[in-house]
Amino acid sequence: MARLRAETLENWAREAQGIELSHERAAALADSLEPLAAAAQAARRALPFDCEPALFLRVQRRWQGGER
Amino acid sequence: MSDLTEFDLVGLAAAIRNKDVSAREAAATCLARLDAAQPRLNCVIRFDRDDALAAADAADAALARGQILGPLHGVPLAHKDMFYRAGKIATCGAKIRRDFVPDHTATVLRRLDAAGALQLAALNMNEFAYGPTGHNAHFGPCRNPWSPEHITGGSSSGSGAAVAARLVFGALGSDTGGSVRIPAALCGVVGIKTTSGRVSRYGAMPLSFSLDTVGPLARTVRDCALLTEIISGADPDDPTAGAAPVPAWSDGLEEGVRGLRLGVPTAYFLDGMTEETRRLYAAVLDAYRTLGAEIVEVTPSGVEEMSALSSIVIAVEAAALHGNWVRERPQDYSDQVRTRLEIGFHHPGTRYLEALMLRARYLDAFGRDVLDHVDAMLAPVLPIPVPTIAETDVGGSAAMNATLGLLIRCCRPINYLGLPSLALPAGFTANGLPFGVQLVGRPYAEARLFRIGRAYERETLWHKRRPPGF
Repeated sequence: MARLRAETLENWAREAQGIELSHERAAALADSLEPLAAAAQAARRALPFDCEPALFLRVQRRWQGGER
Repeated sequence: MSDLTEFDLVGLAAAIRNKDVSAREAAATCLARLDAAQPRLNCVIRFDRDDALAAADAADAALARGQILGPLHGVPLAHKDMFYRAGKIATCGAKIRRDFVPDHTATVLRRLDAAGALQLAALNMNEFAYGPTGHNAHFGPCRNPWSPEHITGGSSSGSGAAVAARLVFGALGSDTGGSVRIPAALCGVVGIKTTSGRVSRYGAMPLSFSLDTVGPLARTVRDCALLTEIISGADPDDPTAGAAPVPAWSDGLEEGVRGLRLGVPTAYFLDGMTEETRRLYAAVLDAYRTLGAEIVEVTPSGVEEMSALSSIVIAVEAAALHGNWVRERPQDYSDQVRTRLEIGFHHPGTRYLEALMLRARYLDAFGRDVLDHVDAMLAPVLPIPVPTIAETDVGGSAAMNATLGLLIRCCRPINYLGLPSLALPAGFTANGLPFGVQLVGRPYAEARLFRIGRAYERETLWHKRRPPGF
């Protein structure tokens, strides 16, 4: 499985990004990506449909107002 | 005062205005100190000696005519080498930019110039600001003034070292995942990660346009507040710099903390602390109790996820910015920076956008969990004592994620939330290195953080200590 992941990354890097990755580097990358992917997968369950990135500024203004 | 370095920035500015000290004398003293410290600390990438002395002479001449240029008239500063000044090389700590000469000047530098400040040097930093340790494969590691075997923290490594060693009176840094707060804490000075949108980033090297912020490091809270006040505010050259009013932060500094509430996080931020750093953290809480603050527990939720989402945003944005160089000259990056950039190419576009979309939701949750209940949350900057340069010299190896992850763990989620955070010196661990805490507040509530920080500083006087030999 790990080998397959690394090969997928190698191929994808070459074809989509034009970057050459050694098999060793691709395997290390796969290890780095895994926990982030898992966290992102967990977090996205809470993502509402109508939540564009610019909403962040509106929420920032909401919490900016006044003090505690 | 015979020793100029006993002045803080505000004190020196007053002494120059009163003609007790000349700008030339201040600049020459600092340049000599920078020169002398360089073999030990390696905190300078470029000296601006001639320009600085010429500017000092011009400041003295102006004062002789009765003209005060601004609140920093003649005050010597130096900045992380990623703030562009037209016609001057800005290496960004990178081999790739060793000869890069920008054609424009960063807004923050223009504002400091207009306030009368002098720039003495461009300071060392992690390559492209992408690292929390102070290592630099191209210019050599910056060394901590409290112990040259230990890291300064990064990426604003030279800024932390130069201010702590009293080589200059303040320095700009940038903070995308802790890069102001970490070197401030590890070198024992004050540093602020400003609210996203508070300070213009025009002419500052980008790392992650969603998360990058600019903020100063200085010896005292008052110095840091003044520098932040000068560089803040809307900028026609940077539409992301908000138009929020910039108050005179120095005004409310001495009001104390009686009646204010400070939050102790029961989740995430205190994990991984050692017995020693826990004791120092508890001492900070005790000090605030004595000063009249109410200490309450708060439970921020989802911080692990925020940290991961923040990593995704930085990685993808940095990879997009660096894409052409990574393709064309990968050998010119250090192994660590290249490895971190390569990670960014492998997140799907949907994952990156989800990470950005979720920021609003996590900020709202943090508001309800924390900001609704307290004036500021108190957390360590680094949960462990400052490590050595050798211990953290992991390059792009398998140990990289764990080592860097521990250094940025308490800082990175705050960048994701875009909140202001003030790092303060808070004692020393047994290895003789500083320990620092951060106060995290509401968006644009820098004034309150400065006030809370100043109350502690006045009580504890850690900022009066000098690194041995400096």
